[in-house]
Amino acid sequence: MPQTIAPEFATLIADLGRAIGPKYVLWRVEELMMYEFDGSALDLARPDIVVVPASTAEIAAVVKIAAAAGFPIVPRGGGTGLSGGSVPAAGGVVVATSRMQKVLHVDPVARTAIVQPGLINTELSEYTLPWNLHFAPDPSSQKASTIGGNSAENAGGPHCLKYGITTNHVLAATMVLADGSILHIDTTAPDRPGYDLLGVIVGSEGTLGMVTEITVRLTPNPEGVKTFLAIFDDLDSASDTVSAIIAQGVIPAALEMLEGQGIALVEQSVHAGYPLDAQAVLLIEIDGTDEEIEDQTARIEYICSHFEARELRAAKDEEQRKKLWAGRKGALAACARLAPHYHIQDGVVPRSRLTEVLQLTREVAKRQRVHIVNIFHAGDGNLHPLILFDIREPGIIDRAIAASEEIMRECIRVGGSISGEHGIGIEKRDYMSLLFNEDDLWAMRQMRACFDAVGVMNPCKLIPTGASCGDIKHARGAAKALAAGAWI
Amino acid sequence: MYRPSTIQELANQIRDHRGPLLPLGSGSHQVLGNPAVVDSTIIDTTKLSVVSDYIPSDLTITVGAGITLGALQELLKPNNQWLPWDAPQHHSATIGGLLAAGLSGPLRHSAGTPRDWVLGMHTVSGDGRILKSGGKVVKNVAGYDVHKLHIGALGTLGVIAEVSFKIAPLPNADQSLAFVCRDLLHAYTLAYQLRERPFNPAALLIHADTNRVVTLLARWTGVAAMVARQVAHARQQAATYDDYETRAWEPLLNAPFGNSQHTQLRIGIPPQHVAAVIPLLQSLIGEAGALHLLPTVGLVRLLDATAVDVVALRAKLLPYTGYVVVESGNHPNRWGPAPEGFAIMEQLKRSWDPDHKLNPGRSFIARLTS
Ligand SMILES: Cc1cc2nc3c(=O)[nH]c(=O)nc-3n(C[C@H](O)[C@H](O)[C@H](O)COP(=O)(O)OP(=O)(O)OC[C@H]3O[C@@H](n4cnc5c(N)ncnc54)[C@H](O)[C@@H]3O)c2cc1C
Repeated sequence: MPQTIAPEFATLIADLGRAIGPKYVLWRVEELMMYEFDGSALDLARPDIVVVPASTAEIAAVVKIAAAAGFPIVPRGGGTGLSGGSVPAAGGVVVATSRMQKVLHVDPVARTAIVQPGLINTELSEYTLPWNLHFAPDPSSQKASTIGGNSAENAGGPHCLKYGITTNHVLAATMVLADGSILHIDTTAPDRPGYDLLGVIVGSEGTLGMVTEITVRLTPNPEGVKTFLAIFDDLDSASDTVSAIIAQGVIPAALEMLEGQGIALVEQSVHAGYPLDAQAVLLIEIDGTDEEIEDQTARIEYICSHFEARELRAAKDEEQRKKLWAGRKGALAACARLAPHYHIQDGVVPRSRLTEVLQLTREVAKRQRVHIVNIFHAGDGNLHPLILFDIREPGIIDRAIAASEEIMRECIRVGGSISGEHGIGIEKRDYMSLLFNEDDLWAMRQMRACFDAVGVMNPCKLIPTGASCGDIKHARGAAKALAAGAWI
Repeated sequence: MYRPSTIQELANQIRDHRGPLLPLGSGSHQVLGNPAVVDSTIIDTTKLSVVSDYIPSDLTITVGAGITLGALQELLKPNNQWLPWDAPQHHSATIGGLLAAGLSGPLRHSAGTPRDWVLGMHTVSGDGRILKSGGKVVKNVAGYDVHKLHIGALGTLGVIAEVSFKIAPLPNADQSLAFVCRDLLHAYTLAYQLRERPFNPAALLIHADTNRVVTLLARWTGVAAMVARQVAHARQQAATYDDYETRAWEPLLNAPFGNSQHTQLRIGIPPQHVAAVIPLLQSLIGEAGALHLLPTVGLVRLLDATAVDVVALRAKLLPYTGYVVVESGNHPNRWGPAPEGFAIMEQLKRSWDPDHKLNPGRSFIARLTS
């Protein structure tokens, strides 16, 4: 492998090395290859350079140097994103947060923590356990994704049904802007005058700036938890049960569904105790005080029996509870046994429309001749149809894309959205215009330009940009994306 | 004066208008911020009150911004639902106006602010474009949450025309107690005792009146047995208390914003610093008419505060990163120092309202627009 520095990068590499230490500037091909994809493997694009700074000041220095040399900046956390957010679509400098993983401060009275962006999600809750506090957003990727990445994607997770998504838990952020200046937006003093910049920073997928420090809200651990598995002989009864639980005013801590072939696949690989012949299972978790749990248990039992659940099983102890969850958490890996390649959809529908949209995914699967398994956050209507296939089959990629598009359009038709938590990134960028018109997108572009007039920060993501991003390598790389799925 | 009954009409009026415009809901909170520019043309939004989408089983609703919060709650009630948003003057104030003013009430201790309940908006920009952001479903990360920028912006970035909310089941029990306390510190300490895990009141408000009587009001909502347990626990914590009707909160919630003749201050302090600031706040009780404190949120309102030296107060709060805003009454510097990110905010104002039509002179952005 060639180890010589391309001449056009030599000065930049030297400058970056002076700013943060040469050891933390990566430019050899084999080093860069690690940063070519994210969790979706949707898109492959090799960064020109990767830097691993250790502080806000170092990130500011890196941004100044790289931007002055005309290179885009692409922030990267755990690299688990599912929409291509941390893939350097237009090349440039990837700024990784893996040396910024500290919890800087915990305030048990105000119930807040100040953390560095590279901190892994679960590590924060482990750290705050002695105070009986935790960070509520719990994406299924929480053992590998970072608080910085969660904030950038406005991540959700099973327990966001009751506790809210990331934007409801971020109170302050320090951010390095495209010109290398440092912005600190702090909402811990309530109702401070000024526009709610933090509201747009969270969920901005690294396109407004690079977040270098975050203050998050911590949530008291519940007094008790109870987890149920509801087993159904048909899909409609299961989705009607979900709708009824919400309609009855019960907000469980989590309400997850697995259906169809997925159940048997999961059971065979995880042995969570799911019946092989069930058509759908619901994982229902409630938490709170004894009084609250008792009240909700009665209501859930009633609803499940009304919709003729074959069985409603309650985990008797922590071990059984973990087992039930292991099924949900291991579902993705288990399904990969069905077909070697997959693509995860992230559409959202109103909860009252679940039954019909789930039916539609079945029809789409038939029509496009792909496998579709739904494993998803049913309680908030966030579908994750997992489209499974084998790319060696001729024409399959087009059919998989067609299936994905059909489902997206249906989500919009019933009043939903194209993404509930995985973000737009590159993957769904061109579908934004199904949801928003030119004026809406204009307003978003204008807002973005207020932070970054030149387009240094994570360009070609989130909003259809027209001409300037038209010739990006792999910009519409679904075929590659799916091919790369084999790697996961 | 304009009185649009559809968003399209509103957009046309704004687009075709020359000169300053003043979007107005019910007018209940017009005392907030700088006085409007004298020759402003009013846009009365109260006819934009259509309920376009209410699906009780989804716990979501989409309404015109001109509906009052009270009317919205009445609409939800028959389905045993509500928006846990107890903003001042909710009977008369429109949701558009309340959002623009960024107002909420003591329930924010447990339920957060409307920012946490708004799913999406339709707004009209200064050049008359109808803009959508967010959506109608409870989870949605498509695009930037630009609607959040309008909350608390006093109508300077656009006119809020339609709003989608996530709503909540109405709790089956709702009970309040009022504790007469020795002083602010006592009330503050008691408030924190009441929210010790696993307990959590729905709302906590400390009120000090002109006679310097300090009262802690606490409200619990939720499952009846849990509310009962918390109330019993609370009664053990303090000798003197009164059972308090939930309705009895209202005069207290509405007390601020009533009167533009008197100086009213808003003070914000990060919750972790409230304890340290208690002696300072206690000393203000003598100087001002009355004081409201949300102890866990760090929000203070001082009524009849003409005698308070705002400049000195700002200096004293600086080490705690607190701020003071003069919400009503005259003051040469009602907003205090420019907020962090002011250049971005100015740029945003210029982008979305290029001719400075919307509410020129109001809000912190006034230094730019007036
Ligand atoms: C198996 C699996 C399960 C998943 N389950 C969920 C789930 O339940 N819920 C959910 O929401 N998501 C889920 N995801 C998606 C993904 O894990 C989340 O989007 C996560 O928040 C990404 O975090 P990350 O640290 O890996 O970020 P990355 O993938 O590294 O980056 C994501 C985006 O954030 C930006 N970014 C990262 N750090 C910063 C920073 N410091 N400043 C500015 N921008 C930054 C990047 O530029 C990129 O646009 C799942 C992914 C996988 C692979």
